Amino acid sequence: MNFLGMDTVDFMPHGHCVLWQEKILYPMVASDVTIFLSYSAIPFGLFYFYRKRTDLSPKVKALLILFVLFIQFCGFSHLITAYNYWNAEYHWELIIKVLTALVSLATAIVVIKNIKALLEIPSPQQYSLANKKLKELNDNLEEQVKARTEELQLKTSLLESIITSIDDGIVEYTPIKDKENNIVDFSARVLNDKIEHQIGLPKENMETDSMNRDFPKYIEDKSFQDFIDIYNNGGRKVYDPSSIKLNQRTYRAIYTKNIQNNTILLFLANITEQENLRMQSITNSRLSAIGELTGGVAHEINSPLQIISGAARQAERQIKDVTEDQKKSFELIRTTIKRISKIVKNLKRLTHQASDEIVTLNISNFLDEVKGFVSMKLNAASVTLISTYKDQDDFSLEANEVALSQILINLINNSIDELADSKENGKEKVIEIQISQNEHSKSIIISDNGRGILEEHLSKIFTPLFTTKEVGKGTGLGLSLSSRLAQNMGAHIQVMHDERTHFHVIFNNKDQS
Amino acid sequence: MNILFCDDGETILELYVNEVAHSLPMHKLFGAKDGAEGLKICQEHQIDYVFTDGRMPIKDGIQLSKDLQKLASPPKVYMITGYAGTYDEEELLNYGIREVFYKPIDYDWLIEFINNLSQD
Repeated sequence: MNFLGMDTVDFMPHGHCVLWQEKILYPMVASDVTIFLSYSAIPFGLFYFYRKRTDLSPKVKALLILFVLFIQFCGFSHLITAYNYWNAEYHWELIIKVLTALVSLATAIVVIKNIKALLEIPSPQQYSLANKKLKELNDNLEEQVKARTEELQLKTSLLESIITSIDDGIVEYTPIKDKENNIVDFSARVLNDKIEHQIGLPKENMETDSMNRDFPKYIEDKSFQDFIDIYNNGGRKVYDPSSIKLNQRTYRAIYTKNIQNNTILLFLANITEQENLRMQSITNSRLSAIGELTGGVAHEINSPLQIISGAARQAERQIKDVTEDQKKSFELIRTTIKRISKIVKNLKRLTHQASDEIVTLNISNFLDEVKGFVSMKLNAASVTLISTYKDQDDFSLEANEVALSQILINLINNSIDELADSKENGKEKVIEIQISQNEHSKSIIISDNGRGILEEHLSKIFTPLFTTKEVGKGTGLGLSLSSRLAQNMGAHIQVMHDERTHFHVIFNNKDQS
Repeated sequence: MNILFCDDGETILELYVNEVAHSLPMHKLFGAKDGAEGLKICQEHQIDYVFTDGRMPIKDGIQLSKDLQKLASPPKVYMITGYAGTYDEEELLNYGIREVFYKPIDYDWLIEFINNLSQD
């Protein structure tokens, strides 16, 4: 057979080289065949390895394929050697050997080129060392996780015990946003059971998925805007006392942003008792201050009055032929002295009356006395006081004189201040005192034709320290004190509004209250 | 009758004396500007009635009355005060003060009161 110009058909088979000596020939052939079989088996193993180790890098994979080819060709070269002991197909042997040489050369080059990468393939010892380290790290990590979990559990239980031990009710407000990411509403969720104790209502009453729907007042009173401010700017807002009034209770409300989950937390505490005590102490100190002041003033006024009346008597006596005008003047001095004297006596009586004594008042005389206290101020402000309480003899009132006169003087003074401030020229400034009664209650009503009270101020006028008067003119205590004084004797004050502003001091009839 | 007015207000003292003297000229009237002076007058003269102020420098009305009770025949003491509070009248009686009047008192009433005393 001619192959590439080579014809080896006349060549001797390779067996001649060993003179067909069976002792050499057969072991040689057997070895070659065995090598071929073994070399053919190794690629199967490598191929299996190649298939199973999907994590091998492309370089290692190429190397593996080269190894498979190299070993297989080595096998073929041994097979053809064995075959050519009896045959002379040397051109086949040549081809196979050339191919084997090429493949083995390529393999050698690739191995040498990649020796560095091959060296980096971790050895089993390295693997086991790494594994050991990994295990240590893992164990360490587990310990750390365990410690952290314990720490976290401690913190959680601490937090829980704080939440359960503080008396404040806690409410969480979560913002509801529209598509443009603007806050349009809040939902409310109660976080502890204390809220029921604080508000005296089931906690469901505080919970809602829409504050706008269920608590629309919080938009009116600007709480909604406060919520957004707290949400956007963080920090906290404390209302002590809060303007929230539920069930006649006063609250301290602290709003704070919960940065962890972007909600607002409300801590709500019922401070009615403290607030009552505080107001009581303000009331008492105010009353005792008034007592001291009036006592001092009375003393300073009485002696000069004694002089004026005596001096007037002497002057009148010394004038011969007293004219009618002079007589009138002296009479005026006498009546004025009597009036001042009466006011001072009333002041003295009032400041020495026990602050909780309830007496039956003759309303007409009582209101006349009150008018006496404010008449100077009325005149100074050119305000007319209309009284429509005369001739109502069936109207008697059980009240504390000091407290009620304080209330009425406060209300009338407020009206005078308002009318004095109003710049409407030409309009007559009028305050009216009325009394009214029905089967349920009796009321004394003070009204004026001033500018009235702004809608947004209505909810705050009885709050201590709230005032719309200029600095130095109002303490913001008048109405809150009045309200407190009224409550102390079982009455209450209501404000009503039409073309005039009316303050009603209402005494419920005993069987009604 | 000998009547003593005791008040630290000079003008008031003058008015008491002038008004009573004008209406009741038959009585002999004395004036003192404090309790010490009042006591001295009472020691020197047989005074029948004393109208004293409450608060006065040196010796106040109550102390004056207490001291007067130690005299052989003490005068009857009344107090005319500008004090704003109220006195415990029973306690004052123990000091010899028979009644308290509060300023401003009416002069007509005072003259009438003294007139009634002199008729008793």
